[in-house]
Amino acid sequence: MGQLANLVRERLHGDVTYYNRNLHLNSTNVCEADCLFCSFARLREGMPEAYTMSVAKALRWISERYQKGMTEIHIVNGLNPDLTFDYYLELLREIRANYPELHIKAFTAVEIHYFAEKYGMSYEEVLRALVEAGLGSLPGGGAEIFAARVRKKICRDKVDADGWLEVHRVAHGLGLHSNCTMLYAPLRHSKSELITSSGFGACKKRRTASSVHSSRFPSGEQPSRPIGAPTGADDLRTVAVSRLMLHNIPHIKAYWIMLGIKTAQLAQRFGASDLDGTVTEEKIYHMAGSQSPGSLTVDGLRKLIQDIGRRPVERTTTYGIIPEQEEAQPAVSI
Amino acid sequence: MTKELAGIREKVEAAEPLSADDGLHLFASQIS
Repeated sequence: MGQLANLVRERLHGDVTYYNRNLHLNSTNVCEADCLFCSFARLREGMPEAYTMSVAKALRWISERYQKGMTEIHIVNGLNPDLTFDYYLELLREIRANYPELHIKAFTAVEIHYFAEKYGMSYEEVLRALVEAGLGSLPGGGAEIFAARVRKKICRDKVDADGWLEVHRVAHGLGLHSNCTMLYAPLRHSKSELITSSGFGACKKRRTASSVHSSRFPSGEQPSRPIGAPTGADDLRTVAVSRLMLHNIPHIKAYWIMLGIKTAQLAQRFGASDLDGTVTEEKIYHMAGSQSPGSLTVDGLRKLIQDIGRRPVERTTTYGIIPEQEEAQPAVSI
Repeated sequence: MTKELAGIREKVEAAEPLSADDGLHLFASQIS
Protein backbone atom coordinates (compact mmCIF):
# COMPACT_ATOMS: atom_id res chain seq x y z
CA MET A 1 0.00 0.00 0.00
CA GLY A 2 2.90 2.32 0.70
CA GLN A 3 4.26 1.69 -2.79
CA LEU A 4 0.88 2.49 -4.34
CA ALA A 5 0.53 5.66 -2.27
CA ASN A 6 4.03 6.68 -3.29
CA LEU A 7 3.11 6.11 -6.93
CA VAL A 8 0.17 8.51 -6.62
CA ARG A 9 2.28 11.03 -4.72
CA GLU A 10 5.03 11.00 -7.34
CA ARG A 11 2.50 11.37 -10.14
CA LEU A 12 1.22 14.51 -8.45
CA HIS A 13 4.42 16.05 -7.11
CA GLY A 14 7.42 14.16 -8.45
CA ASP A 15 10.27 14.19 -5.96
CA VAL A 16 9.28 17.46 -4.27
CA THR A 17 8.47 17.79 -0.59
CA TYR A 18 7.08 21.17 0.43
CA TYR A 19 7.69 23.16 3.60
CA ASN A 20 7.10 26.71 4.76
CA ARG A 21 8.36 29.25 7.29
CA ASN A 22 5.61 29.78 9.78
CA LEU A 23 4.84 31.06 13.23
CA HIS A 24 2.16 29.70 15.58
CA LEU A 25 0.16 31.97 17.87
CA ASN A 26 -2.34 30.71 20.45
CA SER A 27 -3.48 33.96 22.05
CA THR A 28 -5.78 32.30 24.60
CA ASN A 29 -6.12 28.79 25.98
CA VAL A 30 -9.32 29.55 27.89
CA CYS A 31 -11.85 27.26 26.26
CA GLU A 32 -15.42 26.21 27.01
CA ALA A 33 -14.91 22.90 25.25
CA ASP A 34 -13.72 19.96 27.32
CA CYS A 35 -12.27 17.63 24.70
CA LEU A 36 -10.94 14.26 25.79
CA PHE A 37 -7.62 14.58 23.95
CA CYS A 38 -6.73 18.19 24.80
CA SER A 39 -4.20 19.25 27.44
CA PHE A 40 -3.95 22.82 26.15
CA ALA A 41 -7.33 24.20 27.15
CA ARG A 42 -8.29 25.65 30.54
CA LEU A 43 -12.02 25.88 31.15
CA ARG A 44 -12.00 29.27 32.88
CA GLU A 45 -9.84 32.33 33.28
CA GLY A 46 -8.01 32.13 36.59
CA MET A 47 -7.39 28.40 36.46
CA PRO A 48 -3.74 27.30 36.70
CA GLU A 49 -1.90 28.00 33.42
CA ALA A 50 -4.93 29.74 31.89
CA TYR A 51 -3.93 32.76 29.82
CA THR A 52 -5.31 35.34 27.43
CA MET A 53 -2.98 37.71 25.63
CA SER A 54 -4.13 41.25 24.96
CA VAL A 55 -3.70 42.28 21.33
CA ALA A 56 -0.66 44.33 22.37
CA LYS A 57 0.83 41.34 24.16
CA ALA A 58 0.17 39.09 21.18
CA LEU A 59 2.01 41.56 18.96
CA ARG A 60 4.96 41.60 21.36
CA TRP A 61 4.91 37.80 21.38
CA ILE A 62 5.08 37.80 17.58
CA SER A 63 7.81 40.44 17.43
CA GLU A 64 9.98 38.39 19.77
CA ARG A 65 9.76 35.36 17.49
CA TYR A 66 9.38 36.83 14.02
CA GLN A 67 12.21 36.11 11.59
CA LYS A 68 12.84 37.57 8.19
CA GLY A 69 11.55 35.23 5.51
CA MET A 70 8.52 33.95 7.42
CA THR A 71 5.44 33.83 5.21
CA GLU A 72 2.65 32.55 7.46
CA ILE A 73 1.16 32.98 10.90
CA HIS A 74 -1.09 30.17 12.11
CA ILE A 75 -3.57 31.17 14.82
CA VAL A 76 -5.77 28.75 16.75
CA ASN A 77 -7.34 29.61 20.08
CA GLY A 78 -9.62 28.27 22.77
CA LEU A 79 -13.35 29.03 22.69
CA ASN A 80 -13.03 31.88 25.16
CA PRO A 81 -16.41 33.12 26.48
CA ASP A 82 -14.93 36.38 27.79
CA LEU A 83 -13.68 37.86 24.52
CA THR A 84 -15.57 40.11 22.12
CA PHE A 85 -15.58 39.64 18.35
CA ASP A 86 -13.71 42.94 18.12
CA TYR A 87 -10.77 41.29 19.90
CA TYR A 88 -10.28 38.92 16.98
CA LEU A 89 -10.81 41.63 14.38
CA GLU A 90 -8.28 43.90 16.08
CA LEU A 91 -5.80 41.03 16.39
CA LEU A 92 -5.97 40.35 12.66
CA ARG A 93 -5.88 44.03 11.69
CA GLU A 94 -2.82 44.68 13.82
CA ILE A 95 -0.97 41.64 12.50
CA ARG A 96 -1.76 42.64 8.93
CA ALA A 97 -0.65 46.21 9.55
CA ASN A 98 2.60 45.23 11.25
CA TYR A 99 3.45 42.11 9.23
CA PRO A 100 1.91 42.52 5.77
CA GLU A 101 4.18 39.76 4.43
CA LEU A 102 2.54 37.14 6.67
CA HIS A 103 -0.42 35.17 5.34
CA ILE A 104 -2.88 34.83 8.24
CA LYS A 105 -4.20 31.27 8.50
CA ALA A 106 -6.50 31.45 11.45
CA PHE A 107 -9.47 30.02 13.36
CA THR A 108 -10.73 26.48 12.87
CA ALA A 109 -14.28 25.80 11.74
CA VAL A 110 -15.04 25.08 15.39
CA GLU A 111 -14.05 28.65 16.29
CA ILE A 112 -15.95 30.13 13.34
CA HIS A 113 -19.08 28.23 14.45
CA TYR A 114 -18.54 29.43 18.03
CA PHE A 115 -18.21 33.05 16.88
CA ALA A 116 -21.40 32.74 14.82
CA GLU A 117 -23.38 31.36 17.76
CA LYS A 118 -21.91 33.65 20.40
CA TYR A 119 -22.10 36.89 18.44
CA GLY A 120 -25.37 36.18 16.61
CA MET A 121 -23.93 36.13 13.11
CA SER A 122 -24.07 33.77 10.15
CA TYR A 123 -20.95 31.86 9.09
CA GLU A 124 -20.71 34.14 6.08
CA GLU A 125 -20.96 37.31 8.17
CA VAL A 126 -18.25 36.04 10.53
CA LEU A 127 -15.94 35.05 7.69
CA ARG A 128 -16.48 38.24 5.69
CA ALA A 129 -15.61 40.35 8.73
CA LEU A 130 -12.49 38.31 9.44
CA VAL A 131 -11.38 38.44 5.81
CA GLU A 132 -11.85 42.20 5.83
CA ALA A 133 -9.59 42.32 8.90
CA GLY A 134 -6.89 40.19 7.29
CA LEU A 135 -7.85 36.50 7.37
CA GLY A 136 -6.25 34.62 4.47
CA SER A 137 -7.30 30.98 4.97
CA LEU A 138 -8.65 28.46 7.46
CA PRO A 139 -6.62 25.77 9.21
CA GLY A 140 -8.08 22.27 9.22
CA GLY A 141 -8.44 21.72 12.94
CA GLY A 142 -11.57 20.61 14.71
CA ALA A 143 -12.55 17.94 12.19
CA GLU A 144 -11.06 15.22 14.41
CA ILE A 145 -13.26 12.19 13.61
CA PHE A 146 -16.65 13.01 12.09
CA ALA A 147 -18.50 9.86 13.24
CA ALA A 148 -21.17 11.04 15.69
CA ARG A 149 -20.48 8.21 18.18
CA VAL A 150 -16.81 9.11 18.40
CA ARG A 151 -17.39 12.85 18.34
CA LYS A 152 -19.81 12.63 21.25
CA LYS A 153 -17.15 10.92 23.33
CA ILE A 154 -14.05 12.90 22.42
CA CYS A 155 -15.27 16.44 21.65
CA ARG A 156 -18.94 16.73 22.56
CA ASP A 157 -18.81 20.54 22.77
CA LYS A 158 -17.56 21.07 19.23
CA VAL A 159 -19.63 21.74 16.14
CA ASP A 160 -20.79 18.52 14.47
CA ALA A 161 -19.54 17.20 11.15
CA ASP A 162 -22.22 18.93 9.09
CA GLY A 163 -21.45 22.26 10.73
CA TRP A 164 -17.70 21.85 10.24
CA LEU A 165 -18.21 21.09 6.56
CA GLU A 166 -20.65 23.95 6.13
CA VAL A 167 -18.13 26.46 7.53
CA HIS A 168 -15.56 25.27 5.00
CA ARG A 169 -18.12 25.31 2.21
CA VAL A 170 -18.97 28.94 2.99
CA ALA A 171 -15.27 29.81 3.24
CA HIS A 172 -14.59 28.24 -0.12
CA GLY A 173 -17.48 30.23 -1.57
CA LEU A 174 -15.70 33.38 -0.42
CA GLY A 175 -12.53 32.25 -2.16
CA LEU A 176 -10.63 31.08 0.91
CA HIS A 177 -8.40 28.03 0.93
CA SER A 178 -8.67 25.61 3.80
CA ASN A 179 -7.05 22.52 5.25
CA CYS A 180 -8.72 19.40 6.62
CA THR A 181 -7.19 17.66 9.61
CA MET A 182 -8.05 14.27 11.03
CA LEU A 183 -7.09 13.53 14.63
CA TYR A 184 -7.19 9.77 14.59
CA ALA A 185 -6.93 7.16 17.29
CA PRO A 186 -8.32 9.06 20.27
CA LEU A 187 -10.69 6.08 20.62
CA ARG A 188 -10.78 2.58 19.26
CA HIS A 189 -13.02 3.68 16.42
CA SER A 190 -14.11 1.18 13.84
CA LYS A 191 -12.67 1.10 10.36
CA SER A 192 -16.02 2.06 8.84
CA GLU A 193 -16.22 5.08 11.16
CA LEU A 194 -12.81 6.17 9.98
CA ILE A 195 -13.52 5.79 6.33
CA THR A 196 -17.08 7.05 6.15
CA SER A 197 -17.23 9.66 8.85
CA SER A 198 -13.83 11.25 9.07
CA GLY A 199 -12.21 13.59 6.63
CA PHE A 200 -11.69 10.62 4.34
CA GLY A 201 -15.31 10.16 3.36
CA ALA A 202 -16.92 13.46 4.05
CA CYS A 203 -14.40 15.66 2.29
CA LYS A 204 -14.52 13.44 -0.71
CA LYS A 205 -18.31 13.53 -0.94
CA ARG A 206 -18.81 17.16 -0.12
CA ARG A 207 -15.82 18.92 -1.49
CA THR A 208 -16.33 22.09 -3.47
CA ALA A 209 -13.16 22.26 -5.54
CA SER A 210 -9.85 20.51 -5.44
CA SER A 211 -7.89 23.68 -4.95
CA VAL A 212 -9.51 24.68 -1.71
CA HIS A 213 -8.23 21.86 0.44
CA SER A 214 -4.62 22.81 0.16
CA SER A 215 -3.41 20.11 2.51
CA ARG A 216 -4.41 17.66 5.12
CA PHE A 217 -2.40 15.97 7.79
CA PRO A 218 -3.21 12.97 9.91
CA SER A 219 -2.23 13.59 13.48
CA GLY A 220 -1.54 10.91 16.01
CA GLU A 221 -2.43 11.79 19.59
CA GLN A 222 0.31 12.75 21.99
CA PRO A 223 1.46 10.63 24.91
CA SER A 224 0.30 12.49 28.03
CA ARG A 225 -3.38 11.62 27.72
CA PRO A 226 -4.60 8.23 28.95
CA ILE A 227 -5.83 6.94 25.62
CA GLY A 228 -4.22 4.50 23.25
CA ALA A 229 -1.59 5.83 20.88
CA PRO A 230 -1.16 4.75 17.26
CA THR A 231 2.05 2.99 16.34
CA GLY A 232 4.46 4.28 13.71
CA ALA A 233 3.05 1.67 11.35
CA ASP A 234 -0.48 2.99 11.99
CA ASP A 235 0.74 6.51 11.15
CA LEU A 236 2.35 5.46 7.88
CA ARG A 237 -0.64 3.33 6.87
CA THR A 238 -2.97 6.24 7.55
CA VAL A 239 -0.84 8.57 5.45
CA ALA A 240 -0.83 6.00 2.64
CA VAL A 241 -4.59 5.39 2.73
CA SER A 242 -5.11 9.16 2.81
CA ARG A 243 -3.07 9.64 -0.36
CA LEU A 244 -4.86 6.80 -2.11
CA MET A 245 -8.37 7.93 -1.16
CA LEU A 246 -8.29 11.72 -1.21
CA HIS A 247 -8.27 12.61 -4.88
CA ASN A 248 -9.72 16.04 -4.12
CA ILE A 249 -6.87 17.04 -1.81
CA PRO A 250 -3.60 17.79 -3.55
CA HIS A 251 -1.26 17.57 -0.58
CA ILE A 252 -1.06 15.12 2.30
CA LYS A 253 0.89 16.77 5.05
CA ALA A 254 2.88 14.72 7.55
CA TYR A 255 2.97 17.24 10.37
CA TRP A 256 6.25 16.60 12.14
CA ILE A 257 5.06 18.09 15.42
CA MET A 258 2.39 15.42 15.71
CA LEU A 259 3.92 12.41 13.99
CA GLY A 260 7.43 12.99 15.27
CA ILE A 261 10.31 13.97 13.03
CA LYS A 262 11.36 10.48 11.95
CA THR A 263 7.87 9.25 11.07
CA ALA A 264 7.04 12.48 9.24
CA GLN A 265 10.26 12.12 7.27
CA LEU A 266 9.54 8.50 6.35
CA ALA A 267 5.97 9.45 5.42
CA GLN A 268 7.44 11.33 2.43
CA ARG A 269 7.87 7.84 0.92
CA PHE A 270 4.36 6.73 1.91
CA GLY A 271 2.20 9.34 0.18
CA ALA A 272 2.94 12.59 1.99
CA SER A 273 4.28 15.59 0.07
CA ASP A 274 4.60 18.15 2.85
CA LEU A 275 6.25 18.35 6.28
CA ASP A 276 4.60 21.61 7.40
CA GLY A 277 7.06 24.29 8.44
CA THR A 278 9.45 25.78 10.94
CA VAL A 279 6.54 26.16 13.42
CA THR A 280 7.76 28.83 15.80
CA GLU A 281 6.34 28.10 18.43
CA GLU A 282 3.91 25.23 18.94
CA LYS A 283 2.02 24.98 22.25
CA ILE A 284 -1.03 22.75 21.84
CA TYR A 285 0.72 19.44 21.20
CA HIS A 286 3.58 20.21 23.53
CA MET A 287 1.18 20.80 26.41
CA ALA A 288 -0.15 17.34 25.53
CA GLY A 289 3.33 15.89 25.87
CA SER A 290 4.76 16.02 22.36
CA GLN A 291 8.44 15.09 22.41
CA SER A 292 9.17 16.93 19.14
CA PRO A 293 11.17 20.17 19.32
CA GLY A 294 9.17 23.40 19.43
CA SER A 295 10.49 24.50 16.08
CA LEU A 296 12.85 23.48 13.30
CA THR A 297 15.28 25.57 11.31
CA VAL A 298 14.94 25.87 7.56
CA ASP A 299 18.24 24.04 7.19
CA GLY A 300 16.98 21.32 9.49
CA LEU A 301 13.79 20.89 7.50
CA ARG A 302 15.64 20.82 4.20
CA LYS A 303 18.10 18.24 5.48
CA LEU A 304 15.28 15.98 6.68
CA ILE A 305 13.73 16.17 3.22
CA GLN A 306 16.99 15.60 1.36
CA ASP A 307 17.95 12.67 3.59
CA ILE A 308 14.80 10.80 2.50
CA GLY A 309 15.65 11.42 -1.15
CA ARG A 310 13.20 14.23 -1.78
CA ARG A 311 13.78 17.71 -3.12
CA PRO A 312 12.88 20.49 -0.65
CA VAL A 313 10.78 23.34 -2.03
CA GLU A 314 9.63 26.25 0.07
CA ARG A 315 5.99 27.17 -0.44
CA THR A 316 3.49 29.81 0.55
CA THR A 317 0.40 28.83 2.53
CA THR A 318 -1.46 28.18 -0.72
CA TYR A 319 1.43 26.32 -2.36
CA GLY A 320 2.97 29.07 -4.40
CA ILE A 321 6.66 28.29 -4.84
CA ILE A 322 9.16 30.58 -3.14
CA PRO A 323 12.62 30.84 -4.68
CA GLU A 324 15.45 29.85 -2.37
CA GLN A 325 16.34 32.72 -0.06
CA GLU A 326 19.05 33.61 2.37
CA GLU A 327 18.75 31.65 5.60
CA ALA A 328 17.37 33.56 8.59
CA GLN A 329 18.73 33.10 12.09
CA PRO A 330 17.51 29.80 13.54
CA ALA A 331 15.07 29.80 16.45
CA VAL A 332 15.97 26.37 17.80
CA SER A 333 18.41 23.96 16.29
CA ILE A 334 17.64 20.30 15.90
CA MET B 1 -3.15 -10.46 -2.03
CA THR B 2 -6.95 -10.59 -1.98
CA LYS B 3 -9.10 -10.07 -5.04
CA GLU B 4 -10.22 -6.70 -3.67
CA LEU B 5 -6.67 -5.49 -3.11
CA ALA B 6 -5.62 -6.64 -6.56
CA GLY B 7 -8.49 -4.60 -7.98
CA ILE B 8 -7.39 -1.58 -5.99
CA ARG B 9 -3.84 -1.93 -7.28
CA GLU B 10 -5.14 -2.05 -10.85
CA LYS B 11 -7.21 1.09 -10.30
CA VAL B 12 -4.31 3.01 -8.75
CA GLU B 13 -1.93 2.00 -11.51
CA ALA B 14 -4.51 3.10 -14.07
CA ALA B 15 -4.99 6.40 -12.19
CA GLU B 16 -8.65 5.67 -11.56
CA PRO B 17 -10.29 7.08 -8.41
CA LEU B 18 -10.98 4.65 -5.57
CA SER B 19 -14.43 4.16 -4.11
CA ALA B 20 -15.47 4.29 -0.44
CA ASP B 21 -15.69 0.49 -0.57
CA ASP B 22 -12.09 0.38 -1.74
CA GLY B 23 -11.20 2.52 1.25
CA LEU B 24 -12.92 0.07 3.58
CA HIS B 25 -10.92 -2.76 2.07
CA LEU B 26 -7.69 -0.83 2.51
CA PHE B 27 -8.47 -0.19 6.16
CA ALA B 28 -9.69 -3.72 6.75
CA SER B 29 -6.54 -5.23 5.33
CA GLN B 30 -3.94 -2.76 6.46
CA ILE B 31 -4.94 -0.88 9.57
CA SER B 32 -4.40 -2.78 12.80
